[in-house]
Amino acid sequence: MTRFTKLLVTTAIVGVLGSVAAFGAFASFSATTQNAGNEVSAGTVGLSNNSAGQALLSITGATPGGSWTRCIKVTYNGTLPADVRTYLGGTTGALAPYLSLKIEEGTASGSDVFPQCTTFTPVNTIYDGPLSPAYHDYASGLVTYPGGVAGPWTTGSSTVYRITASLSASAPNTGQAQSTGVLTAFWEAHNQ
Amino acid sequence: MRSISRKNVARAAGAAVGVVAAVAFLVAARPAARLAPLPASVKVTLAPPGTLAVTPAPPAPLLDATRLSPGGAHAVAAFAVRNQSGITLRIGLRGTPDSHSLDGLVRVRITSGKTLVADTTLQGLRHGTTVTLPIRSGAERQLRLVAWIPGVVSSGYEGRIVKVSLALTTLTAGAAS
Repeated sequence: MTRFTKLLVTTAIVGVLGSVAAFGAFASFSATTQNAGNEVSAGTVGLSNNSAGQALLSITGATPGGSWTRCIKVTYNGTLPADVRTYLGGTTGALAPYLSLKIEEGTASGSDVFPQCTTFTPVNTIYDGPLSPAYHDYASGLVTYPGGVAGPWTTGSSTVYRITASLSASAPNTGQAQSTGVLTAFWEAHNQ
Repeated sequence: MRSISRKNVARAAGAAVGVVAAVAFLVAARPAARLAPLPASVKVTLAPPGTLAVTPAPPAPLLDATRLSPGGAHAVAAFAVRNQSGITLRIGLRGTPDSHSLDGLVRVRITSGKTLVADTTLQGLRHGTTVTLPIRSGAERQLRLVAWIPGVVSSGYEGRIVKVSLALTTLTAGAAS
């Protein structure tokens, strides 16, 4: 076998092996993969409470010096971290100037139901003063935190509020049969 | 002549062994052209209203099934729902998957004791359950969720990942208790 023939045979073998290798490589490289269901969806902000539509305070026959305590649990259901503020809405009546409110934020064990405060543990007092129309929207509302601990509201976080309403002992006789007006307590969340 | 002939035979045999070894190496090293299909993943998280407290509480997932495949093992999760409102409520469930890719493929069964609340697909869960469960104020109910892919499914599930928000809906069922 001449040197040229040997070179030719060697080149042929290398070529055949290269072809086999290329076939193998292309066989695996030609496999496909896919990534379906690509989508962008917005996050959410959402709040709910455990009142089931019942009024937190519905008192009739109130007398001067009386005091009433109720608790409500507010839970954040959104997916975006949020800030929450609370405020009152509605039109105040003739008895409103004699009513004071104390709002505490804290926690409670799972055994309480609306509007019980049996296991309430206060963390902060966020308001203690007269029933005031000053807090009437988000901008003027009282800042409140999950569980009373400073930080954003996140999915599943909650706060229990203990609200104590007191009718002044100095309420005048003209307050008889009068009302504070029907008020709505709001908790409003804005994503951060 | 004879010694040259033996030398050629030896060369040919050596070349043949080399070629066979090289081909065997290439075949062995070559990745399989057909891989086993990836299983599907379904993650379910509860979304309760404020009147209900649930365990596991969000954002912890209720179910995180990462190996669902046709005819494979069923994924099972248990959860508790407590009525923390002051009145009796009837609860229902509505699922919102973040993608339609497993809608008709994954079956879901939800039970509470012997009560069948739902036996449907992910798609059916989007419409909500027709059966509602009464829960008195302060009371708790235990529920069980099972998810699986039936063995008759042949494709369409591979590698799909779907997150489901399972909302609890409430209806007022009675006066304050």
